[in-house]
Amino acid sequence: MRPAPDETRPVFRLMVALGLAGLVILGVGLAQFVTFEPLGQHTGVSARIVGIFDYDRVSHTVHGGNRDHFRTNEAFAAEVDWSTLPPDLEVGAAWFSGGFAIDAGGVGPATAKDLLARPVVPVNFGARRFPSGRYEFVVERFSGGRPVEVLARKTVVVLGS
Amino acid sequence: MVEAAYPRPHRPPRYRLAAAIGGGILASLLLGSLIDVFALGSGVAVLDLAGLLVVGLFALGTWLVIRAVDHEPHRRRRHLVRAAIVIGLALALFFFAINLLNARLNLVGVLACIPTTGLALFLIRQVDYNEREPWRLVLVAAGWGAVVATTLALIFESLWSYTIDAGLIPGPGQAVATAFNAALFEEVPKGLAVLLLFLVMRDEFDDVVDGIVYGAAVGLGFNFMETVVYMSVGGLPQFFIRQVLGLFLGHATYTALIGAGIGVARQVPGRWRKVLVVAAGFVAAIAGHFTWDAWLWYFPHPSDPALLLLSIPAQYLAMTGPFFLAVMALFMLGLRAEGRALEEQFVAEAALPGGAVLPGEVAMLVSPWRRIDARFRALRYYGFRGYRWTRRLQRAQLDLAMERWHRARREIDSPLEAELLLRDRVQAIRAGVRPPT
Repeated sequence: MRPAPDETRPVFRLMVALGLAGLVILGVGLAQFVTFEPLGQHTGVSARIVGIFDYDRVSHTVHGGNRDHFRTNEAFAAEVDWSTLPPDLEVGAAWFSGGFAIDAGGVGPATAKDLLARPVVPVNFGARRFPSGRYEFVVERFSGGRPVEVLARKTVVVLGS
Repeated sequence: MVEAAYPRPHRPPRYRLAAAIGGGILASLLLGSLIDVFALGSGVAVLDLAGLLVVGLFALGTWLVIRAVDHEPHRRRRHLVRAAIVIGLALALFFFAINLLNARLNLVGVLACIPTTGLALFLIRQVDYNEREPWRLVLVAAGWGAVVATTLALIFESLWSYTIDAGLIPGPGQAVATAFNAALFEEVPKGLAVLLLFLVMRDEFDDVVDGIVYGAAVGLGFNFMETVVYMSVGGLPQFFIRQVLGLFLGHATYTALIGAGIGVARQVPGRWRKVLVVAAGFVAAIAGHFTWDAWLWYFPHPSDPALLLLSIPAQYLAMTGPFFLAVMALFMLGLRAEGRALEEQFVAEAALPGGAVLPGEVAMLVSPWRRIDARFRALRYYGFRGYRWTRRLQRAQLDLAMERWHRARREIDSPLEAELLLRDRVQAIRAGVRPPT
């Protein structure tokens, strides 16, 4: 006579299947991570962000002191000292908002010497008011037209007015 | 009358004065802090208040330990258990104060979320109809989720942000890393609560059904505190998203998966199988949570409120829906296995001479609806006392059948006396005398 099947077998099998499905999901996530964060790209080079300042949309210049928060109706821009980087290094800088989902303007990619004339990088949403939230400014090194390393970053907060 | 050579030194009146001044200082600190918190919304006063209560609870815990080891060693176990509860409460209070500060003292949020979370805990406990878990453990699980797991998550997610995230390139890679951060550092602290209950309260942790109940309770506690924090920034819409739409389709689902894994491990034979199924529960929960956060990279929420009303339910259905269905399937399978096993044990018990179950009671005991019907019949004939007596008898019989089931499967640490004690308990209730504890 065969012994009765163990009543925990169906739940055991379903649990193991769920665990395997979970491994597949996390594996896909890991593959995406490695694709966009390629390993072995660390050069040790770092860029210098002078600061985040009020921005004059007419003269395209920055003024005032370094700030870490702004109002939605205040224009602001980052100033980068490109001269601290090797002249032929392919670099760029960009503003991000909404958890990196929204590109909010930037410069590059180009060589550091080409960007010497463009130290000011304003936030650009195509509107005069900015949505409130956290804004991140990132200077990146590029290779083959893709960002491969972060050289500097700074965060500011835009508060609702 | 003979006077003692070294009379016990009396306490001079100045001590009383000092005690009165000390008490006055404490009372004014308490009163002032309460006014500061409720009238001015002062964060420092919250820390003052929590600090005073924490010191008081720690002092009480220390006194109980002293009683256990010095004054009343014959009652050591009782005093040590009480000391552990009091010190645990002190820590929980401290963590709650930290979380409340993190939520910008959102007391309105706390009050708003208590009914919804309480109702969810009640419903989850009710659906475990064969053998309901004790409220004290369900509340401990939810409390862990609300204060301990949230604090651990806060610490480790911050560490990740400042170390790993800071060096990542903005874009899909960082989005994945952020999703992984939230999934790992929220699910593991929540899962630890279920694992601790499994290790410490084995008598109240029977199978996959119990694991799901405890896991969901931890998740609901976590969701409670997270809602309070998010409401402090996002207001009422956050309440609707997290306490209505996502009440069961979020943290409760993920941690229920961990609980299910641990619940299956409770019954599955073999060490490697136990480890495998516990790991499977954690991986499934982390993956479920990961998909929820990763979705935002591919489908960011629109800023238009009307579209938001569509996109958020879509996210719940697409990302958490399949995991919720999996939890439901595990729960139904677990309940079915539990029901069949209990029926076998009731029949076997009824066949024993002098068994704790009468042959005529088996059909009633195996059906939750017939059990309810029997209780209401007792209510009609004998009033509330009859209802309570029938409920106690049924619970004792279910406990006995559950114990028999575990013994038949060789899953018990306790000796056979535990089963004999449970049988005596049923007989005592039936005879109308105080049951053995």
